[in-house]
Amino acid sequence: MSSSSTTTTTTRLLMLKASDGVTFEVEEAVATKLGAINNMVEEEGSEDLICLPNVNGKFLGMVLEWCKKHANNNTNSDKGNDEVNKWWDKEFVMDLDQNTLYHLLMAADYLSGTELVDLLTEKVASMIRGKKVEEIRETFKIKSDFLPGQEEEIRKKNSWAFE
Amino acid sequence: MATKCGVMPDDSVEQIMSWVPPPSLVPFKCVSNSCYYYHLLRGPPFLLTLFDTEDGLICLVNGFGSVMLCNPALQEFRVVPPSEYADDFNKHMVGGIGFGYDSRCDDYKIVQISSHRAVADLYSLMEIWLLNEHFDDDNVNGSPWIKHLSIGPLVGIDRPLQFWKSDELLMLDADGRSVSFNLATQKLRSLPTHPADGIIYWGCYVKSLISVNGRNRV
Repeated sequence: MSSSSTTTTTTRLLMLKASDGVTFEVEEAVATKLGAINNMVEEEGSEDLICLPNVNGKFLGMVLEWCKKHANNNTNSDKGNDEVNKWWDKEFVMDLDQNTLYHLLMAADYLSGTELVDLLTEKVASMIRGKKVEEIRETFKIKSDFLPGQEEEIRKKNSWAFE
Repeated sequence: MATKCGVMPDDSVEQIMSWVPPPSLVPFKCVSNSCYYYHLLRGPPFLLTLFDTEDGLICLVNGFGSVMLCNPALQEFRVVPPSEYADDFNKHMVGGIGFGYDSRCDDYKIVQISSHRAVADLYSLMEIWLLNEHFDDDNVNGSPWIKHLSIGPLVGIDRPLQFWKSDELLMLDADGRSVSFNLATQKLRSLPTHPADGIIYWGCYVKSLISVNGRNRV
């Protein structure tokens, strides 16, 4: 008999219910990659149905897709796993539109998916790095709230950064 | 989706910015006043979690003993006031200088050892955040640095090196041996190390956003 310590062989299924009523049946080992779910499972024990009123089905589905991929990749004790995860993460965030990125980040944050939050915040940061002020405003739909002259003053004082 | 930073979730902005290197954050100052200040410059606890310890501040001493703290990534600097133990003639005569992060107080500190008296002045950077409204733009010596305490007498101590173990100040004695001064107990103890001749700096440098000019400076 195998004495493997991974829970994948004996894992139970959890039912996750999103705000719009969409439900997902997920292996415990996958769902507990999310800190919030992990806490609920540990605290409440036997409850198989978990309601998540702050995440809708579309984004919960995406979060779980990420968890599943990472949980599967991590069960194979292969050294190439990190590389596989990195490659898969890159694909995962590559074509996310702004709206999806926003809601996914909110969902990952709410569910305490630390690694996923890292991935998504890094993606947003990559949209800021090396960009001009106007580009950042446009990308993130941020309105300037400076008083007349204020912005010019900041630019003048930090001219080295705008060269 | 109406947040201070447009379509970035407010709760995640700090973490997002932690991935952005300082030079790219400076243009961000011009994007939106409220977004930048609300998220990025709320105070030292945030900045410390974001950029970890040591934090890219470096302490310089010129040939005349003027002590200056600067952040090369932000191209900011601030001159530390001279020791009150220095006389008028030798305003900046510093026998030894040390700079470091004091994790116990969540603060940066500078220690100056007077060149002709066996006492040291301890300066704290934290007050910068509290006194930022009172800065005088033209007077870099009219300082936000607050002297916290004087340590001493420190007989036979050559120079301070760095804060370590939260409230211990690592120093070198005249023979080049390491000694540690505990700020709480005010006691000196020798460390079992070999003489470390020639150490003048201890630590590593990383870029950071810790403003030496205070949080409301742009």
